[in-house]
Amino acid sequence: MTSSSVIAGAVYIPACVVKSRRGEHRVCAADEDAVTLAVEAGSQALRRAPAGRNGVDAVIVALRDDIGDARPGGVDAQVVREALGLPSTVRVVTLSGADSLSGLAALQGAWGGTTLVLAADSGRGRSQACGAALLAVSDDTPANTAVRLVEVARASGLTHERWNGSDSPGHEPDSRFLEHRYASLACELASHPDLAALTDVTRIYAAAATKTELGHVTAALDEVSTTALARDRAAVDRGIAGPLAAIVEAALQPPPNGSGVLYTSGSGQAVLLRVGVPEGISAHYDWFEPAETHTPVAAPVEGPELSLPVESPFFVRNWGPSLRLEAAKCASCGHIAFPASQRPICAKCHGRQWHKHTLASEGRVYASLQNKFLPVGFPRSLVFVLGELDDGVKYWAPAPAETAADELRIGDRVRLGLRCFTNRNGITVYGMKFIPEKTETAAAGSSAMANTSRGHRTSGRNR
Amino acid sequence: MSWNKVAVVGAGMTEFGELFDLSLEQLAAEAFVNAVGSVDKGISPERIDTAYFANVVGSLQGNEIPSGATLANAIGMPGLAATRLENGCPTGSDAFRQACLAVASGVSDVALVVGAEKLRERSTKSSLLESGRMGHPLLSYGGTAATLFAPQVLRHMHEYGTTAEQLAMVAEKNWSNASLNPKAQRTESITVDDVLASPMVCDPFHVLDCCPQSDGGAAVIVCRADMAAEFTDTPVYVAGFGLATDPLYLHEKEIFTGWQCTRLAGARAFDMAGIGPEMLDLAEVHDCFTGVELLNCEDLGICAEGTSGKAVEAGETHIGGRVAVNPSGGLLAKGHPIGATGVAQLIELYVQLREEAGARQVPLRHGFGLQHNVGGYSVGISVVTILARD
Repeated sequence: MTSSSVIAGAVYIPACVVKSRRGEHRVCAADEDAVTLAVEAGSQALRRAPAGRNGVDAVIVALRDDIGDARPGGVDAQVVREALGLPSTVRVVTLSGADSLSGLAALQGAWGGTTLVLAADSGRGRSQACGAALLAVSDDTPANTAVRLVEVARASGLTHERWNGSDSPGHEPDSRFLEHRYASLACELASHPDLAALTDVTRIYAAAATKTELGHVTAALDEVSTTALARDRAAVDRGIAGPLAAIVEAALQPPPNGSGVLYTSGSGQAVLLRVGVPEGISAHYDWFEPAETHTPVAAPVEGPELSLPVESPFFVRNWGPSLRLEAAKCASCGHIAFPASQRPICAKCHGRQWHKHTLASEGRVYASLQNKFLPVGFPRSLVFVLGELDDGVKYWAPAPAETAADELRIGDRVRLGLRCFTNRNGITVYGMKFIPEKTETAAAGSSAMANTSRGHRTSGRNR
Repeated sequence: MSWNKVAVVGAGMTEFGELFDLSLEQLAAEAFVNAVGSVDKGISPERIDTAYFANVVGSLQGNEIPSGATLANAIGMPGLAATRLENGCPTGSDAFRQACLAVASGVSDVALVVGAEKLRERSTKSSLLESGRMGHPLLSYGGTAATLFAPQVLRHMHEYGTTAEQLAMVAEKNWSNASLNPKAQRTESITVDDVLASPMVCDPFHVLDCCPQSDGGAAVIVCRADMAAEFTDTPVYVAGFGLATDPLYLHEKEIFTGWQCTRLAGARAFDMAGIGPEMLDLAEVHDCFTGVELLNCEDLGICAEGTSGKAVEAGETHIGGRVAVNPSGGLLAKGHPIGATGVAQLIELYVQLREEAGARQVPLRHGFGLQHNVGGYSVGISVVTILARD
């Protein structure tokens, strides 16, 4: 029987919304993708972890974007590691061809030590854009400090997902055959003898599951339950990030309601896990979903050409430090300088010994402006921010394309977040942008129940 | 400090503007011919032993890397000891400084400075704006000339209450001055309302808060002061000059209501000249954007910190005011062909200090004029020159 222990976790839902007849639909901003979603979720999870980023031995990354297999997965996973400030000794694993079960599989397959499992989906079809991160530890962790996941049942079959077809935007995919296949798997799983032990389950979490699948599982649980069941089927439709997001949602429930079972399916498999949530752990989890939303601007297929390509030696020297917000601090006088490779001698004392210094990632607007006349290939307009970080260092960066000029005033709180700067020939260049904090603080750090988009509990299948 | 005194004995320039029919070499040659022709007692080109060619765009756009040979061949003097210099927006003024150093050191007797630029060889968006694609690919992402200067102007507005109207008054003043300058690119009159109603380019600059992109050439001839009488009875003398660099990237700057490099360069020039800013009758100040003129006036000591907006509003920097700032029309209206810009500013001082400026003549009280440029990648460099009538 496979079990996992999770000591921290976070979900990041982007602030952009499009409306359809099914309601509001969270989507990526023009400069967000699965990489940036993973970093947002991962940084929140590490912030909530008891030991922070210390002690992380491995990172497992599952990403899904519309650009699909074109992702240079290995580099993207390294971008995630750098942006999370994790050292180069950390093992990094990329799950290519990631699907709904990838995050869960990574969690269950996490080897000894502490593993940060990330699953992010930039959203497609009916799934919401979402990044989710869980910090998994070895099973000998005290039971009262971790969410314990124990696999109860699994059913598998051969089904090719591409039957779903890539239909035109706005058309419903032809998913009835797939729904039938997964309903069969759920039915098979529901008859598993180990379900008989689930007499105390009062709550079902579901990710990437249809109503029919859930119906089979619920009916089976109804039969074995010894108490009156008041199941709250918290469906999380977050693409490949869904299963991990469901675990975060469980961890954030007020005790004792969090415990239950998680049902999910994908890649021709259906899985049921028991989720044990001890009391007093919710401080280590976060559901990060801005209450104030934007309408996304169109993302260009090809972004502006930069002065140097990302494959160049310059980027190799400078990209990592810029993603880590790493500066140099003079060993003699404490002066902070960056980019470190361009400042080998201290401007204050002429010292040449430097220590690494991580810049504060939050601060206030010192000056901001809207540039409406940019070189060819750039957006028609961009907001730029000169920020004064909380450690007193200044930093100059663009704001996301959705940021309105009047959204940022001198003194407003901002944070530096990983975003796409450009995309050229299928390679995305990531860097730091200043993101207004006022759109986020309203919902950050509180319970999922208060902040999840509960209107999205319909469990459409989108893989 | 011991150095041989340097005199300016000739100065000439082309018209500034969109000179689509003229090449870089033709602009350089026309400026050279005008400078030689301006020497009161005449000068044979063979007397020139050293030349400096101020040109920026060649290195920015990479289709050709101009050299001193570009100038020497353009003016029909292959073999001349000519150096091409590029140092951002102060390129022209630094070329002049190099010529002064050559003469002041005794190595050169007569030196030529020619600045020439062809910004309009390409479309506006692929010309100077392409500098936004230069430099650090992330820290300079999407940057343009406006974003390099705007944060300081915005901070000045925030800290001292400087207004958009006061910025616009700089444009109104400089366009008015340019209307009296036959070499200027913009010779119409505009009002504060015109400026404020023009499209926004980059906060806080409207289109009419910005200088144009220009073609043009300018040239001056300097020599040992003890030789000046061979060429003219009314030379203008180099009283002092200074160059300074700034912490480069925006996040490295230490002041945000001006530029440290201008303060340093100005202090060095004033110290060399042995005067203070109260002795200036006029100043040709770098005004690529309206607000930049205001901040520069404070950096140079022409106005006290935080008062330059009120000074332009009160007319203190108009022709006939306390210190005439940019009587030529400045970069805003005369034009800004980068390599030629500083040289043309020096020509304005030369003409004004010889009281030959006609309708835009500044009343001379002390006989000192100042020239200033600031800019370059990430606004990293400033040059200040002070010329004297006596």
